[in-house]
Amino acid sequence: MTLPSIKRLGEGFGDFIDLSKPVEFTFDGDRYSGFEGDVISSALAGSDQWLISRSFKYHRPRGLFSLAGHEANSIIQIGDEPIVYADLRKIEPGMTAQPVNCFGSLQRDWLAFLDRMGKFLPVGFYYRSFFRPKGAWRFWEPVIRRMAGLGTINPHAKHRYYDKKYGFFDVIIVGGGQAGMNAAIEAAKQNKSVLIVEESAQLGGALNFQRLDARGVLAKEIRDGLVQEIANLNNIEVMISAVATGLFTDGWVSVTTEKRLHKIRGDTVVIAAGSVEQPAVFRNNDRPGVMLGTAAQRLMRLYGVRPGKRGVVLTANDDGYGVALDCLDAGVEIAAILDLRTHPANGELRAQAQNTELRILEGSAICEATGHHHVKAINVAKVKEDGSWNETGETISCDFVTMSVGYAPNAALISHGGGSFEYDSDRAMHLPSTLPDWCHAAGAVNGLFSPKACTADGIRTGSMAAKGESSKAERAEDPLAHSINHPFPIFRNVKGKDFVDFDEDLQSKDILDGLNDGFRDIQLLKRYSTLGMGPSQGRHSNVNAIRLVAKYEQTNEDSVGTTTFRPPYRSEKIAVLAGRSFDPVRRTAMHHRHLEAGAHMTLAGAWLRPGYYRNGKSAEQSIFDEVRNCRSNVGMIDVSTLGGLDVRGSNAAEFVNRIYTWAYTKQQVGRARYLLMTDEAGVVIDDGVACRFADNHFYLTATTGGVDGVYREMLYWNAQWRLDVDITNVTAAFAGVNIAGPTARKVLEKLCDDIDLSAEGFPYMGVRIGHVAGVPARLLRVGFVGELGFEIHVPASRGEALWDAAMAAGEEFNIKPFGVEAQRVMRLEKGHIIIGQDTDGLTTPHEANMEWAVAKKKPFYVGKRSVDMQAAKPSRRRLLGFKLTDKNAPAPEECHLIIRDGNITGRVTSAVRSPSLDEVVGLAYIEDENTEVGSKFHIRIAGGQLVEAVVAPIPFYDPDNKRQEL
Amino acid sequence: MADMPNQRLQRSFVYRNLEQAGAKFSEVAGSLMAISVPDGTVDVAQNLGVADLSLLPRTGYKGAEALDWLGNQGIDIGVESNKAIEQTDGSICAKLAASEALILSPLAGFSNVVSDLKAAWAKGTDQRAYEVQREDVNFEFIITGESSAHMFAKICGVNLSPSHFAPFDVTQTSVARSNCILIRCDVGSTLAFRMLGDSASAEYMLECLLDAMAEFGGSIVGHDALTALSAI
Repeated sequence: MTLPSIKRLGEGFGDFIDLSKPVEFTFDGDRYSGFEGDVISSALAGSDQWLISRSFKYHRPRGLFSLAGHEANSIIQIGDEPIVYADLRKIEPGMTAQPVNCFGSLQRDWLAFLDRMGKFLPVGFYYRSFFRPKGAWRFWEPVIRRMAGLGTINPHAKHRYYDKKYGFFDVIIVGGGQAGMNAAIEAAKQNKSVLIVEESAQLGGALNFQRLDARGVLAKEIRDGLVQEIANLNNIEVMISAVATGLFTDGWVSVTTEKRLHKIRGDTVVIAAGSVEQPAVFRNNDRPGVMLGTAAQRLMRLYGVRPGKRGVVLTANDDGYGVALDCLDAGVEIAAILDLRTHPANGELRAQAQNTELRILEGSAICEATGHHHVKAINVAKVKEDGSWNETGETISCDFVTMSVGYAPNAALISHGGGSFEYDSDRAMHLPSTLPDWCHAAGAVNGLFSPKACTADGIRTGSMAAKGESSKAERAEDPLAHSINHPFPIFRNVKGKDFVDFDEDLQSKDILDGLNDGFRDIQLLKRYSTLGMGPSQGRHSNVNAIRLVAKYEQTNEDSVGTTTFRPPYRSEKIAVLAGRSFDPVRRTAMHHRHLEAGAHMTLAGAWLRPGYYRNGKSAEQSIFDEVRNCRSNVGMIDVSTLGGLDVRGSNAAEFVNRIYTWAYTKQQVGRARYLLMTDEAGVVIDDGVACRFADNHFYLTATTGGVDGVYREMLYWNAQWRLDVDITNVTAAFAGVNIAGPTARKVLEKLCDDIDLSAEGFPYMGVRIGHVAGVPARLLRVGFVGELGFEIHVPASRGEALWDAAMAAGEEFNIKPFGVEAQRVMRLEKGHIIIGQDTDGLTTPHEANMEWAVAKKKPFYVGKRSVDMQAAKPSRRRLLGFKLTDKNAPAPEECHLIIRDGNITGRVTSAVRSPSLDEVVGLAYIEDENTEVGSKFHIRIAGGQLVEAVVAPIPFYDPDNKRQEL
Repeated sequence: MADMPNQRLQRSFVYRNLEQAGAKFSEVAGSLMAISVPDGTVDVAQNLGVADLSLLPRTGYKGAEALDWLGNQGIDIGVESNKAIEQTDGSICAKLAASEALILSPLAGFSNVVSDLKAAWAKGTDQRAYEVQREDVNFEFIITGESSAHMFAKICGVNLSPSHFAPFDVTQTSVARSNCILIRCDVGSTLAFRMLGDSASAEYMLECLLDAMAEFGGSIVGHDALTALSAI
């Protein structure tokens, strides 16, 4: 059954809703009806449902309070989406919303008894509880985890689409109210590109709901005029339902909409974010039905909902009279207006109210509201001249109470940007005292409240922003600003439950107890008591707390200081911050051929490489089949990802000679030579092959993961050496294959007719330039896998064509592709190292048994001094080959430990059950002196078992290297 | 002559994506390019379209005397870095730095500039100028349409709005976390950007572009749409 909706207000009310479009939704299991444009809070209120949530600590009933999403009262959950503000989220057909922080039901919360346990839950109690006696935390932690939190995350929730967008404007205006719109118009008239960021669903800010004049028409007139003027200017862009969550250096503003994070840069920023109405503090000021005056006005003007049937208005300024007049216009009874001021200033709205039959009690406050799930009456107290009160007066029955006791500038963003504040005791509010050069403050955020002052301030800042003038923390005179805030709207009650911070359930005594506990600095008091640390981030609590502290400490508010606002201004979804993640993926030219052949792809940095090709068997069997085919017939692997660097110029040889450890100045054209690279600490960081295609042209290869670092290092060093050399990273420019196996030459002979491919014409470690399958190619005879092999590098756009041609040519020789895993097996059978697997952050060439790749007589290479120093010391460890003595023992894995005489003396870096040798072989660092061939040791494998191994010479396979030199 | 990309030696890095979009291929400047795409009309190109130019000839030169060498070959390079100059035959020379420039073919493809430069360089030079294989190290796309700058704002942090990024401005920046070169080269009266990036990331980048374009109703267009656009 859908609970009936109360009849909405008519003409002049309900600006945001469409009465012709009802919408049904569910809250706490009950069905409700609202209208298109309603937010959840207004739709619930429209059905006389005022209870929305339970408070954090005491589980007290809570309801609509600001209708601006400023506090935790309105936090609910929709489906698997937590932290939804009922004040801000529009209802949608079929929406299912749930209250949070209640156990059982919202009406009958099992934890409501905590409201009577206040004496056991003093301020900061959690610092002294839950950990004694020893072991108590093990009991309490799951209880607290179960009870805590404002919503539930679904770890299996489907990721929805979020993204980000950059924006660039001359002037960004945060806040589309009177001051903001005027600033925008002024800047636009000076031909600047302007952005207005407005949090609500339409421009206007407070003009959308507040009453400025007796007739109640001025606000709308001003608003409509400004909106029309903006519409006529094509250099103003407006973002509505958009929240500026942070202001950063040099005008960078983060703005969130429902599914997007906007990163916007403005040359200047004008903060016209308005002000936040403040509550009065009295006993039970948190009951559902007790709300801010502007909340009642929003409810009526925007959503056409009456705040109740009979209300009491508590006020300390003219705005409260506006609330009362609005209620009268809406046909709502006002039992009384309680004016805190003993001698109220005469404003236009008060004067109008005095002309009605409204009952006005001057010098009166609320000492207590009564009612449990909803307010049902208030007790009046007389306020003395000195501001004290201790008498209770009459009881007035009511079903709603509004509070209009003042405002605090909504200055969080100014704080983000580095601005500072001072307390103006005359206006009883904190005002900006310093601003970043590029940031202006206008309107209520700058302490101005009258229409005339807001307009003038908007024009002033808009003009300054357009001209690029440095900001000034200044404001014109505004008589209204001096009578809008009550300096101390706090009426402490000895019975407590007079809330200063609604989110954190902090009462006035909690603030004072925190001071008595020694936390006298406002920053410490904040962290001790959690004041201002809830979802409202102090919007409704900071100022009153500062006033309390000042009074108790017998100082002034400015001396107390204030805490710092930091981003975000409002809660941000992690999904919005994450956005549409970009994970660049690099594919070789032959990528799709691998997929078509059933490859299991693996990531190598950003590259996708085929690990192995599925053939219906297990992964290990598939890999071993690839190894056997390569060793007995011919295989082909895509090596496109390997790094490629062209080094060209008259000093090319000298450059290569300085970068790498071996000698290259005399390397012959047409020959390749192994490359080993060390850093300045003498640590091995990369390897490859240097191919000399001409006197002044070296083509260097590098590892897939290392090439970008190698390129950077080369540029870095040559920036100092200034050799005549050009270095170009051509990794992506070339696609490459390695055709390897006993019949590799036969395959290539079918594709290449301009190179002598014979063993004499193209010997091992030779390089040639020619054509393969009609494609210009660089050919290298290199033997990483230990078979006759030809590495062919072609322009990347022709890589797939090369692959197709080679597969076709090799078909009669049973050519099969092989992947990275088979390559790793074969290179290990040859004892070839992999940088980063068989070397670590400390490996020197000598430790890796690579002394043969170090030119001892060369005067310089990067790292030489360190390498020489390391070589002069006794060796700590060596990378050696090993075999398991029991051929049937399980193969160890990387980093399994070497154990000798009960001591750890090394670790395995690579190991495999060799399909070519039918035994387990591997490489390991062995850290003592027993490193001779034949020396035995143990390896501790998974499960703690020890397997016996013996130091073995490498290569394990084809020790004379005859196969690769065919 | 074969008319399917996988029958040619030189293949675009995104030819499969174009095939999936229903592209028809035809020869342009000696290579097989996507001429038309079923939903890729000139109206789409005017709003927001992406076309693959990867097989149009292009080249680059770097080195201390590279720009002198190019100037000696008759190329108008200009003074400022990060600016491009349209040559008399419609090809584009973009100066990337004091020691590097790249040359792009005109959209129509009919130009000998690139082949002449390659031939000249292959003859050898004493000048310190070195060829960069732009045809293979880079993919090339062109993004056209009045929504193009708005689309780029979703994936690139540079202000590419027409008021800030003038015709033939060049930016070397990051797009969707991948390094790219963007050159504003309007087609007729339509805002357009030629885009070069890592050829190995071509498919990734095209996927990112199409995803970002979806909001604005953008899609792949063929070479014919560009030709029609150049007349508007």
